[in-house]
Amino acid sequence: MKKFRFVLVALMVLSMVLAACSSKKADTPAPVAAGPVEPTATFHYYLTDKPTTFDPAMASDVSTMQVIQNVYSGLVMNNSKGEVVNDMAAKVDISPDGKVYTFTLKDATFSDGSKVTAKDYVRSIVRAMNPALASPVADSYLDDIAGIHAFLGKRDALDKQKSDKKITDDDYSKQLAAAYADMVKAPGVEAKDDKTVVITLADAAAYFLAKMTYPTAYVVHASAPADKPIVASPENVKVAIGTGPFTLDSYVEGSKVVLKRNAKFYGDKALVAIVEESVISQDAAQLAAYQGGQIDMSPLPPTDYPRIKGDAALSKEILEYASARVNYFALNQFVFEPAKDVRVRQAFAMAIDKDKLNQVVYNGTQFPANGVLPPSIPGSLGTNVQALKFDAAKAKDLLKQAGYGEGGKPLTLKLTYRAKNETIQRWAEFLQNQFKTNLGVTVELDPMEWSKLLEASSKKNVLQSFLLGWSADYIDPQDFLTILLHGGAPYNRYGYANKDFDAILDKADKMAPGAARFAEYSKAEQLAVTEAGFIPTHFGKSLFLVKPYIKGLEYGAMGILPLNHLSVNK
Amino acid sequence: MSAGSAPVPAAAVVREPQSVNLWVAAWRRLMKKPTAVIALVYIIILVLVALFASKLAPFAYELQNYDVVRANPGTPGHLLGTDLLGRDVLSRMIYGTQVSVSVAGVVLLVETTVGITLGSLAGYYGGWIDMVIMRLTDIMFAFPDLLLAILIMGIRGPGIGNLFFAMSVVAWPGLARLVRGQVLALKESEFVQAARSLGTSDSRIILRHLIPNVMSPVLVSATQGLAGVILAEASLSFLGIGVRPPFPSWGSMINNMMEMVYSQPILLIGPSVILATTVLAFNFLGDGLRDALDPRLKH
Amino acid sequence: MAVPGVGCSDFPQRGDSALIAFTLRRLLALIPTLLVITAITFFMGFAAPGDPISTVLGERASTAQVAALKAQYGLDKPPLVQYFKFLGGALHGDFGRSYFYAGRPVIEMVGTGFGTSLKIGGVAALYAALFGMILGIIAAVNRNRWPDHLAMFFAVVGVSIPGFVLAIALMYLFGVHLKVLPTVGWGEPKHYILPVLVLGTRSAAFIARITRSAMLDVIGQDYVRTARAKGLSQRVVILKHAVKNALIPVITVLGTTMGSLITGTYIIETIFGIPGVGRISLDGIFQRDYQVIQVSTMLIATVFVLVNLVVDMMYGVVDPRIRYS
Repeated sequence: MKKFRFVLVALMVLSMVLAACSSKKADTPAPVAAGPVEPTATFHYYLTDKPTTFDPAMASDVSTMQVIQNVYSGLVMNNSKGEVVNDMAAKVDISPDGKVYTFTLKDATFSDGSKVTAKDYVRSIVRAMNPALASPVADSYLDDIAGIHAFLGKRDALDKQKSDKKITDDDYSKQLAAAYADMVKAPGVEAKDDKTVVITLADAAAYFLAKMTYPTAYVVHASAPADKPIVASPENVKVAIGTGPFTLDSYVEGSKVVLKRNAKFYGDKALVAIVEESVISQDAAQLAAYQGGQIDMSPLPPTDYPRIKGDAALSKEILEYASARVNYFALNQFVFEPAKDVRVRQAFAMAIDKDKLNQVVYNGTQFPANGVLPPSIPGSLGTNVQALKFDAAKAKDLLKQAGYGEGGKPLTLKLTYRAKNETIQRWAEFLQNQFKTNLGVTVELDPMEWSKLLEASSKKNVLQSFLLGWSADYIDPQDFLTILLHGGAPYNRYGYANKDFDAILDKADKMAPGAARFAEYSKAEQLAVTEAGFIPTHFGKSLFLVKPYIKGLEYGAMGILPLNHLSVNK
Repeated sequence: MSAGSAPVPAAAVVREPQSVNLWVAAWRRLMKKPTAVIALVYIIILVLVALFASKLAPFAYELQNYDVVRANPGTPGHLLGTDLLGRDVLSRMIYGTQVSVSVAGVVLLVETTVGITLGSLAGYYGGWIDMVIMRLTDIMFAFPDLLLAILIMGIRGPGIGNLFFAMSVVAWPGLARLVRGQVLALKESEFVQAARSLGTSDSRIILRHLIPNVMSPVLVSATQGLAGVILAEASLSFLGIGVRPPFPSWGSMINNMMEMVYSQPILLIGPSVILATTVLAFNFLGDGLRDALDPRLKH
Repeated sequence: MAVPGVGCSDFPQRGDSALIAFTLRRLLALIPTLLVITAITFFMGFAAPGDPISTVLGERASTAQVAALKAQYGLDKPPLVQYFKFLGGALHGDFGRSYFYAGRPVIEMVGTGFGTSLKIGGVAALYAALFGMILGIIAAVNRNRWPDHLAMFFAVVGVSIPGFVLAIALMYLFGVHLKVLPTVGWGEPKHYILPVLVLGTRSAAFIARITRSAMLDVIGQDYVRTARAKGLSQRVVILKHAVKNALIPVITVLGTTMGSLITGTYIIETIFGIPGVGRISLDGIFQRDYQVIQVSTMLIATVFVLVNLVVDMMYGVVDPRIRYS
C-alpha cells in the first residue's frame, strides 16, 4: 500500500489542477439589461500585444494606446483625417504671439459620475511629469509648457552632474524632488476657473496642439495616485477611471481586455455595448482568429494579401489605410566613412529597386517611398518629388566616381535590423541582394534584438547602417524633417548635416500654420531626398479585414481605432 | 538534452573490462535491428549531404529569384518550391543539413570530452573535486535547458559559433553525472584494486581501465541525447535566435515560412518532415545502440 | 535531465527517517542553488547589450531621456549594487517592478503566468499519463498484432515530431480547416485542447513505450500466469495485476518527462498566445526586463528542482535497492 501513496498523491495533484481549470467558467459578458435605445452588441477586436499600462501618463505603444484612447480623453484629438479637432475643449483661443493657449471645457463627467474641472487637467499634467512615475513619454509631449520646460532643463543638468559623479545619489534625489516641487507651484498650466484651462508655452510652437492629442495630456480622476502609475493589472480596471466613450470592465492578464460603453460620455456615445479585445500577437494567428470568427477585424498580413484578394467573398472585406509612417535604410556617416561622400549615399539610394521591393517583400501592399514625408502629411511633395530613381548603371558609376567598387576600393557593409520579425528580415535580405547585384557591395546581415538596436542606433557611433522606421506622433512635417534630419536633432542617428537644410527648418518650425510654412518644409524635403540624408524605401499602408456587419469604422491616421462610431449590424 | 532518455540503474554498472570482442558483438547485435540500420544509413547520408552541400544543392542558399516567388513544390527547377524571396527550398534544406549535422557533431564531441573528464575526475578522486563538480551540475540541472540556451543566445546573438557554445554548455552535465556514477562503482571493482596494488598511476588507471569501461553507456546516452540537441537547435532557430541569416537552418526555414501556414502550408512540409525524420533517426539509433551495447537494459 | 539512481554518494541507507532527512537536505540545498541561479541570470542580463529603457522608449529614445529614466529606476548603479538590492528586496517579499510594464510588480505578473502554465502542464501530464498508459496496455495485450504496431508507430512518431511542427499542423487542421477549435486565446476550457495535445504528446509517446515493456514483463511473470491458470478471465488478470505493477515505472518516467513539459511551455505559449510564465520569461529576455527574467527563472528553476527531487524520491520508493542518506 505504501508504494501507492505516491501514486495517489500524484493523481490527486493532477485532478486538483484539472478541477481548478475546469471550474473557471467562460467569462462571456452578461447582456446589458437596459432600455430599448441602449445598444447590446459586442465588437470583437484584437490587440497585438498585451497593454503595458492603464495609465495615460505612461502609454507608449499602439496596443496600450488602443485601450487608453477609448477609456480616457483630453482637450483635443485627431480626427480620422489626422487633423487636430476639439475633444473636451469647447473652444481653444491662441494668443497672437502663439504662446498662450486658453481652453474652455465642455460639461463632462468621469465615468464614476464626478464632474471634470480645469483643476483636474492641471493635476493630471503635473502628475504625468512626476519623476516617481518615470513616464517614458511625458517629456517629449509636454516639454513645450513653460514650467515643465524649466523643470526639464534643471533635470538634465542634475543628470549630467550625477553621471559626472559631482553629486551623490541622495543629493540628486533631493534636488530633483525640489525642482519638481518648484514646477508644481508654477507649471505653466493653470485653472482660471472651473471651466478654463490656460497653458503658457516657453516658446511658440505650431505643433503644440498636435502634441496635446497624446494621452500624456489626458485627464485622470482625482483618485489616481500622484506618485504611482496605474499598472495594467486585473484589479486596476476599477482604478482606471477616465472620461472616454468606454470604461474598463475586466482584464484577463495578458489575454483579454473587456470595455463597456460609458453611458455618461460627453461626446458621441458608443453604438456597441461591449468591446472585447483579445491579445493575439502573430499575424498568422490574427488572420486565423478572424477567419475562425473569433474577432471581427484583423490586420491582413502582406503574405496573405494575394490569396485574400483572389477570394471573391473575402476580398470585399479588405480595408486599406495609408499610415503616416516612413521606413528607411540609413548609412551612418558617424561610423561608415564612405557615406560622408554624397555620391556614395546616392549610389546606394539608386541601387534599390523600390517597386520590386514592394512587390516581392510586401506583395504590393506598401507605397514605394521616393520622398521623406508620407503622403498623408501636409507639405509632403508626394509624386512631385524629384526622386533618385532606380538606375543600377548610374549607381555603379557614382560609386566608382567616389573611388569605390569596381576599379576602386572594395566596399563591405554591415546592415543591422530588428531581429525576430520575418518581414523586416526579408526587407534586409532583399537589400543585401540589391547591393550585391547592383553595386557589387557585400553586405553582412546583422539581426539585432529590438532593445539593443534602439540603444545602438541612438548612440550614433556603433552601427554602420540600419533599418528603422518612423511613425508620426502628430500630423506635422516637423515631426519627420526636423526630428529625423536636422543637424542638431537627437534622432538624427546617421549624421546628415547641411546648414541650408537646418536653416529652412529653423525658420519653418516657428512659422504660423499655413501653406507658406508647408512650402518651406517641401523645400527641405527635396533637399534631403537629393542628398540622400537617409534613404526611405517605403511608406506604410495598413491593411485590414473587417466583417461586413461592422459599420461606421473610421481608422485613425495614428493607427488607433476610435470605437465609439462603429456598430455591429448582424 | 537527454530529456526522456531511460535511466541507467546503478546495478548495471559494474562489469569486467571490455575486450574488442564485446564491441564486435555489439556491432553485430546492432546490425540485426532493421530500424537501427536504417537510421544509421540515414544519418550517414545526412552527413554526406552536409559535406557535399555546395555540390548537391541546385542553387546557392541565398540566391533570390523574383520571378518565382512562393512557387509550389513541383515547379520545374524547384522540386520543393521556393520561399518568400524566391529562394529554392530544396537547396536551403540541403544547406540546412550542415547546421544540424555540425551542431550534433560539435555537441557530441564537447559533451563527451567534458563529461568524461569531469565525471571521471569527480568519481575517481572524490572529496572537494567531486563536491565542486557535482554542485556545478546541480546548478546546471536546475536551469531548464532551453532557458539557459535562450539566455546565452539572447546575449551573444545569432550565429553558428554561438549555437555550438550554447548547446554544449547545456549538454555536458548529464554525461558528467553518468560517468561519475559508473566510475564510483568501477573504482571498487577487483581489477581496479588489483591495478592500484600493482602501483599503476592514477592517470593510467583512469585512461586505461576506467574510461574504456564507461564508453558504452556514454555512447548510448549521448546518441539518445542528440535527438534532443537537434530539436533544441531547431527550436532556437524557430524562435529567431539560432543561425545568422541568410544561412538556413530547418528551424529558421519553418519560422521564415510560418506566415504562410494558412495560405500555402505545403511549403512548410519539406523542412518539417526532414526535421522530424532526423530526430526519429537519432532516436532509433540511440535505442538500437542501447539494446546492442547493454542487452540487460530494455524498454 | 537528471539521471537519478546514479549519484551514488546520495544513497547508503534506507528507511523513512532517512527519506525525510534526504528530502530536507535536498530542500536546503535548493537555497544556495537558487542564489547561484539568480546571480548567473542577473549578470547574464547585464552582459546582454541593450536595456529595458531603450525598449520602453522605442524608436524615439534620445540619449538624455534614456539617462534620466535609468536614474529613476536605479539602473545607472553598478550591477553588483543592483543585485544586492534585488536580493534584499526579495527577502522582504519585494521582487521589484517591471520596467516594460510601467512599474507593475513583477511577482504579480509572473505569478499569474505561472498559475496558467501550471494548469496547462498539469492537464498535459494527465493526458500524457492516461493516453500513454492506455496505448501501452493496448499494445502489450495485442503484442505483435496490428494494434501493437499502430500504437508503437504513434509512440515513435510522437517522440520525434518537434512540438512547433505538431502545433502548426494541429492549428491548421482544427483551427483553420475544420474550424472547430480556437487557435489562440486563453480562459476557456476549449483553449486547453491544442496546447495540451502538443505539450503532452511527446511524453505520452514515451510513456506508451514504457508501459508496453513494463506490461510485457509483468504478463510474463509467474503470478500472472498463476492467476490465469486459476481461471480468472484475461481482462481481470490484466487489470488487477499487470496494470497495478506496470504503474510504477510509468510514474517514475512521468516525473522525468515533467522536465520536457516545463521547457515545452516556451514554444507552446508563444505559438498559441497563452499568457504563461514561459512566454513572460521569453518576452522578459527580449525586452531586457531584468526583474522579470530574474523572477521567472527563479520560479521555473524551483519547480524544476522540486520535480527532480520528487522523481528521486519515487525511485527509492519504487526500487528498494536504492537508498538515501
